This record gives sequence, C-alpha cells and structure tokens, in this order.
Amino acid sequence: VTGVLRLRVIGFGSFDAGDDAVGPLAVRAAKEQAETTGGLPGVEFVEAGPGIDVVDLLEGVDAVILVDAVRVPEGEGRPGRLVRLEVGPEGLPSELRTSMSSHGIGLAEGLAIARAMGRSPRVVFLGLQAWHERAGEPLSIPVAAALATLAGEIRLEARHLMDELASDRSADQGGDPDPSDPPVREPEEACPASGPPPHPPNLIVGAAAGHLVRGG
Amino acid sequence: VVEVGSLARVEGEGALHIRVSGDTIEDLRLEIYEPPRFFEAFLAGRHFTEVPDIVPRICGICPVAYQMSAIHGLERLFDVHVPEGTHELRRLLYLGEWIESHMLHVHLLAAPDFLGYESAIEMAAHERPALERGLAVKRLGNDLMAAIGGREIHPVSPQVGGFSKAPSSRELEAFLPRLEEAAERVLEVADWVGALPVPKFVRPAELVSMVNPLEYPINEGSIASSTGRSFDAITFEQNVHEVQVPHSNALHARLVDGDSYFVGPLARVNLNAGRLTPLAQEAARRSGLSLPTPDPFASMAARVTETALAVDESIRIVRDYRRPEPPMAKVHPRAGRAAWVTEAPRGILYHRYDVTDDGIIREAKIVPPTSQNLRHMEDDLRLFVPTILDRSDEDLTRLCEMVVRNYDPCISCATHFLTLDLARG
Repeated sequence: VTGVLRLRVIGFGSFDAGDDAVGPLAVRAAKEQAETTGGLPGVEFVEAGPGIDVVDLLEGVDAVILVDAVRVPEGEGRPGRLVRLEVGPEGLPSELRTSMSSHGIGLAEGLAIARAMGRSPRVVFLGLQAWHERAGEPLSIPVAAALATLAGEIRLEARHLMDELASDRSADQGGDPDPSDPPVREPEEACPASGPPPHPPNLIVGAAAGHLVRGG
Repeated sequence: VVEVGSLARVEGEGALHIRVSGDTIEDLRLEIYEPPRFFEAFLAGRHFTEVPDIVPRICGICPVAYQMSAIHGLERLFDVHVPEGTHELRRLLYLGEWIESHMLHVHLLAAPDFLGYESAIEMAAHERPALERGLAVKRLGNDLMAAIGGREIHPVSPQVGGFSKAPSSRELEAFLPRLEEAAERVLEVADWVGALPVPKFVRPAELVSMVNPLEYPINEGSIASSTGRSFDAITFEQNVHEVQVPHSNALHARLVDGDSYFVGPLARVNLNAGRLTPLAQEAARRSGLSLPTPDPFASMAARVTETALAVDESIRIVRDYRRPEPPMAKVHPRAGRAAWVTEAPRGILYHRYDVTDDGIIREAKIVPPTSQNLRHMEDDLRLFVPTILDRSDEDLTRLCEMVVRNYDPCISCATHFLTLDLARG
C-alpha cells in the first residue's frame, strides 16, 4: 500500500430504535470532537445504516473502526459497557451475532463477505452494550451516558491506529519514510484529566484470536 | 446492533408456518414484522417540517422513498410550486436509491440462491469479479444519494418546498465518468444474470404500479394494474383494503373486488415497458427478461433492467442539470388531506397525512410495498409448495426463501429471514 494512509470510522445502526442508534451517533460525536480539536487528517467518518454496507466501506482504506451497539444475554454485563475487539482474519467472534440485518446479512456477515473478496484492512470494533432497541425510543439512559466516552475512545483509537500504521509503513520502508509522503501524525493533544482513560476498567478486550473476553 | 450470545429471536425476522397433510397444504402462514405501523403513531402531533427528517428513518435501504412520498403529498396539499429543476434533482436522488437497492439485492441477496451457494459469504470467494463489478455500481448509487441528499443513510436536504441545499452542476458532473462506466458494467451484470439458472413459476397475477405518460414513473403518476384497474393516490384507501388476518399482526392488503396483488420492479417493467430507455431495453434482452411476464422469478432481471434505466436517466439528468435557484419555495400550510404514492425500489409506497391549518400532522398512514406484497407471497407459496413437497426440509426452506426473496422484502419494512416451521402429516 502506498500513498496517504486512510482510516475509515464507520457507525452502524438506525435512529429511533433505542440503543441501535449508538453507532452513528458516536461517530458523529467523534467527528465533531475531532473537528473542534483540529481534525484527524486521513480519517474519514461515515454514518452507515445496515451492516451489509461494510462490504463496500472496507475498500480503499488501510484500517477501519467499526462502531455498533452490542447485545448480550440478559443478566450479563451492564448497559453502557464499552466493548473493544481487534478483529483478525477470522472475522467477528462467533458469539457476536448481528441482529439488525438484511436477510440475515449483518455486520458480521458483511465483514466476512468483504474478507472473502480480499478486502483486508486492519479492523477494530468498538461498541457499547445496549439495553434495548425499541422502535421510536431514544438512547437508554446508561447508553446515552456512555456516548461521550465511546466518542472519546473512537478518537483515541483513530489516533493510535494512524500512528501504528505510519510506523508499520516506515518500518516496511527500512525506517526511512518517503519525505514527500510523511506519515500522518497529529500534534499530541494533552489528554484532559476528566477525559476517558484509553482503557476504562469495565472494558471488554477481545483477544486477536477472536474470543470474547468479558471484563468488568 | 451486534448480538452476543444466545438470545431470543429479534423482532423483524420472518417466519413461515406450513402444515401439510399428504400432498395438501392445510395451513400456510407467513409472518413479517412491520415497523412503519409504529411510525404512524410517532408522526402524529409533529409539525410538517419534521416529517422529512423522521420518515427516512423507517428504512436504511430506501430512506429516499419515504421522504419523497411524504414531501410530494404535502406539497400537493399546500399547493407549493417547487423551483425549476427540483423535479429532476429529486428523480436523480431516487434513481440513486434504485441503483443501490437493486444492486444489493441482485448480488448479495438473490444471486447466492440461484447459484446454489450456502450464503453470500461463500459466494464472495468464488464470484469475486462479479461481486466487485456489482458493488461498484451499487456504491455509485450510494454516492449519488450522499451528494444530493447531504447524507447517505438519512438524507437531510430534501424538504417540503424543495431542497435545503442543492448540489452544484460541477458536483454532479463529477459523476459522469462513473455513470458512463456503470452503463457498460450494468450490461455485463445483465449477461451474468441472464446466464443464471432461474426457475419458472407462472401463475395468474395482478401486477400494480404507477404509470406516467411522460416518463418511467417514480415520483409522479397514477396507479394502474395489469388487469386494467386505474386509480390515484387520493383514492388509494378506497381501492386497497388492509385487512387484519388472524395469524399475523401485519395487515394484509388486497384490492377492492379483487385479491392479492403484486407491486415492485416486475410490475413496473410490465406496465411501463414502452418507457424503457435504450440501455434498459438492452439490459432486459441480455438478462432474459421477456415482457410481459407475471413470473416472480423474473424479478432479478427486472431489477437489472431498472438499474440500466436508472444509470441511463442519471446521465441525462446530470448533463442537463441546472441548480434550482433558490433551492426552496415558500410553503404555507393549510388544513386537509395529503396523499401520495411513489415507486420505492420494492414498489408503490403510499403515505397519507391529515394536517391542521397550522401544519400539524393529526394522523399519518403509511402502506409500504412489502405489506402490499405479503398476501401475494403467501399465495405464491400456497401454489408453489405442493410442487416441491418431495424435497428435503432444507431444500424446501431454500426454495420458499427464493419465492419470498423475489419480492425483496425490506430490511425494516419486513423480514430478516425465514424460519420454517413445517409439520408434515
């Protein structure tokens, strides 16, 4: 891969369906935050709808951050909990199943189709545990309360990914990056004391092998 | 939403219940969830200016259709004269949605069935060039929607009165090279579809679509059927009755003095064959669409034909485009009933709003294409299932899914997909 590094942040979900809106809303908030703090060059923010859209949104980028609501069996975890997964070639872990799908094709299936078609950017999944997805209702209170944390997490993740991609590329080029094509780096922004830590204690961190590890 | 672990089935999935005795079907019920019913209540009490922001949220695949039925109906009631160029720009926006929706259906939903793949995932590994080609055309549709609507998923610029912001000629002209490329690709897609092994299932059916003497109908026109019926949006509810059936919480639509009917691309190409553009005629020929035909399995070829029409017309609209100035007309609400239909990718979409003189929606009614087709799908299955009872349950489910999938029941207008509950006696 040559040229400018590109990262696409994609929020999936529908509005007016309770916590299902968290993907696009968090991406919108992250975009607004990034714009007020000077932007994130090379990062594109997309509000998508159905998970199937991931098939063409995985094209032409070095990395993507997928943002969506997460359902867990009743009694597990708590609504508003942050979920982070590094998604390897095997796709989303089998215990992650999409619900809001078109004819059985949702985010997990869309991702698998994209992989089968040879689209292999680096993929990180970020989401919040949903409480409900009832039609016509806004975000639930615990999810709404965690929205800003998720947006902050998206920005941090985007920055880390861009840094890592830049250093991977410069390593590939023998540590001598092409001066005409400098890796995109943001000026370091001081992390506000009140801001979200990079990995809150209640974070679910998925192993690269694809197993969902429940934390918190 | 991503779901973790084992949960009860989510709302929105379809279920098919069949009870068979010998080779006779004793009972057959198709169940599909319908969110628009909820939105009708949600719209009551809202100001008319909020409607274009609310209704696109009903469907992630066809948001423009919902906006267009609502906006045109309200403009007719308020006697709004939209700025010159608005008609063409709205048509282009809607064509983008047809391209996106049709190419999604053909490549990822229908083709795996016809090619005998277990899933689109399995097909992707084997049919990569065909998928890349189809998805590139689909993406062009999405990008047109984003450029005109201001946002791809829930377009924000269409308003009662016009557009809050209209794209410049230069922005649209940038699409010409991609549209011209798509005009070539779509014929290759037609060849690909024409070569698929497609079952035949011909039975008498009443096909219903809009007709328009001036153009292939999308936003304007009256309603006609293949048996000579003719009415317009304002009398829709006198001509189409929605009946409660005991087995389903979805309403079933049927024609007055008639029965189930069939809306969608196949109905449109049948009733508007004379308005197909040259590229669309070529796509019809290559995809094996021979008109007239009531065969629901010809729907995939109809979608390819309409995609060609959409690309052809988009090129014409972009070349002749003049940005509407100003983009929006002044709107003065008045009391009364707004009723309109437009041709959503899946067929006619009816909206009706009863409005107060200060522009508040008192009552809303939305009849999406999938609810109109529901009864027809059941009727298809009643006739089709007895011919395939010798198959395994697995085969039978797949074939039933193909029958239902011909209608492309919408993601939130309808089913996610079928759970078959078959009792053989």
